[in-house]
Amino acid sequence: MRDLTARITALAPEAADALKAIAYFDELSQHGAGVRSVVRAAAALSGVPANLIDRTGGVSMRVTADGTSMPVAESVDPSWPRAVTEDGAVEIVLERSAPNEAHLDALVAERALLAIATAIGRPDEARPRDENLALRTVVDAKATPKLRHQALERLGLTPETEVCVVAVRGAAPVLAIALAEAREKAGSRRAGIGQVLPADEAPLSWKRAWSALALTSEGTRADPGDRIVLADDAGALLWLVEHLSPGAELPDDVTSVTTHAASAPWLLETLEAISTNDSVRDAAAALGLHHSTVQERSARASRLLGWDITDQRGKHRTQLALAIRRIGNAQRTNPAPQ
Amino acid sequence: MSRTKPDEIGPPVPFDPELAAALEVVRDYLPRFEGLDSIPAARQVIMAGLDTSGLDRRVETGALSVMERTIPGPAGAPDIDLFIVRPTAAAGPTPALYYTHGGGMILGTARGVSEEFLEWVERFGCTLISVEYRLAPETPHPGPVEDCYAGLVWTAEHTDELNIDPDRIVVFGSSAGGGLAAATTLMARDRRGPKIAAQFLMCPMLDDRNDTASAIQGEGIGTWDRRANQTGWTALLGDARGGPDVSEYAAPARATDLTGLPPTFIDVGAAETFRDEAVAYASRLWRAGVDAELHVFAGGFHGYDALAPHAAVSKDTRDLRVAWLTRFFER
Repeated sequence: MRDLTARITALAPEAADALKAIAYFDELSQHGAGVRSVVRAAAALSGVPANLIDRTGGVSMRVTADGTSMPVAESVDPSWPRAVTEDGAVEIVLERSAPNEAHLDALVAERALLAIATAIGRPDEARPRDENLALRTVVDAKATPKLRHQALERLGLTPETEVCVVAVRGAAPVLAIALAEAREKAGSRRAGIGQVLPADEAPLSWKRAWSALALTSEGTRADPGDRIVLADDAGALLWLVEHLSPGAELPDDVTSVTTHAASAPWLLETLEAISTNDSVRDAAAALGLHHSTVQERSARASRLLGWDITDQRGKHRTQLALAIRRIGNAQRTNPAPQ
Repeated sequence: MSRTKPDEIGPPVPFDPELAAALEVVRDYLPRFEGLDSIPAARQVIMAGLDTSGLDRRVETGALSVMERTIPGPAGAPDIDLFIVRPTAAAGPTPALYYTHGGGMILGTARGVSEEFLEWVERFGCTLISVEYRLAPETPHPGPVEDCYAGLVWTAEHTDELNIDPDRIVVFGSSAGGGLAAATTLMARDRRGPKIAAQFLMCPMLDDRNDTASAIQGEGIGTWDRRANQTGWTALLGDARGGPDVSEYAAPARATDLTGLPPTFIDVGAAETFRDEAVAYASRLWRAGVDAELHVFAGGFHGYDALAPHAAVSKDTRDLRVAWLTRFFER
């Protein structure tokens, strides 16, 4: 039976195998798959039998590439690729006799171990540190081309593979092969998504993703706006993010919005809705309020701020103030990448 | 706790974890079936993925031999090719597996004989006859099913030459091929044609109305969803699809009389478009007094066993197919 990677390659020749393998294990974990499913995945993705030795649970199993469970191998060849938890208790071994033929083995073993550790409730024991290191190298603008190419190879990518980088606060860079996949990987988290570029230019996509992240909002009443921002959509605002000096004095419009928002909790969501919709009626629909309420709020907001927030010029002024306010907030709370 | 009304259709049935993971990996690269315009691209994807290595290997080792025959088509229609695989070692007449390939009525080829079917040929010492029927929309109904029937008639008339046992002809197919196998079986009954010993229907495409709860639940997800199904049936039937005048030989779910049909095996995934029409067909076969067996596999989307053959549920599916065939052939 043809192994799964060959099947995937036939269906998806331009897909990055490493990202697909990672997606496979992530999906298994998300669906609460059991340990045997994970071992089977390791075998199917690598095309060779996979062994699990769990010394904490006294469990061992062996599954061949076609998914069949077999008696455990009597002896484990020390040259076979493997991944082991930090405490050495859980181990996954792929029966590859010529390991140099398949550089995905290390990744598959690490990911399988992480999924198994998750399934048995010990995820911290199996963090795939090396992979994060490779990811960080790929997006590091200061890495030499040689280092970056090695890291790319480790991830099963070529310098020409098209990727985009997702920035999430407090998380490692996430690579995706298309914007749709990037959105999916971001999930419900606040995220900036860089442009799709050849992997060789991933540092630029990463930089833009961080800049886009500064333009995101919580999406709540207190912090209205988009939770996910695409660098592709942000235009000149990215330039603003990258050139606004941290700690710089903010314009009066921003200070005014912040000051008045403290005593008028309806202000920010009203400004966001009015400035991003064609009419007061549309803004009311977006807010789920009656248009006369929004009409009244918009008049009050215009009085408070000192500009008409409903005409075209006023909308631009509001949008710019909100954007600079977000950037300022982001600079206070987000450490810059690396 | 709120409860749904008795007739309300709930959310999609969840996929099996292993199947969900495999689908996630290839989802973006599966052919899309959104209207007739999407068919040429989908055909290319499927043909590019055609893998004949298992058959090639067995032919090289001398385990199996391959024969191709061109036979007369239905009256006034072009000739048909049959693709025939048999065990080299077979001495006497063998059982016959007459195969109508799948592909939504719009794609696929007689040469697309999977590893699983080759294993049956070896295990049961069968001759497999695969028919290259014409595809929709170039050939609308009844062209495709008439081709399938003509191939069956020719096979039954040449049992000596093919060295097969006329009393052991099993018609089988998966997906659209399952629907064509069921329709061919109905035709053979109604036209007093060849004796079919059994029909073996894997996730069969039976009902052009495309409005069951399982079709509605799965719209937009899985591999062959309601929209894809609409594309396939529209290719075959045009504007008549879903209307009052569709023939049972196009959509066997339309048959009003299922009596007198041979022993039947049906399997289907619980999370796929065809679940309800497959279950309904089995229920109606039992009601009509037919010997039938039905398996519904939890968490299976359409064609899961082909897309993720390593998954536990795929293995169980193959095992139960072999188990039924073993019981059948040992009768």
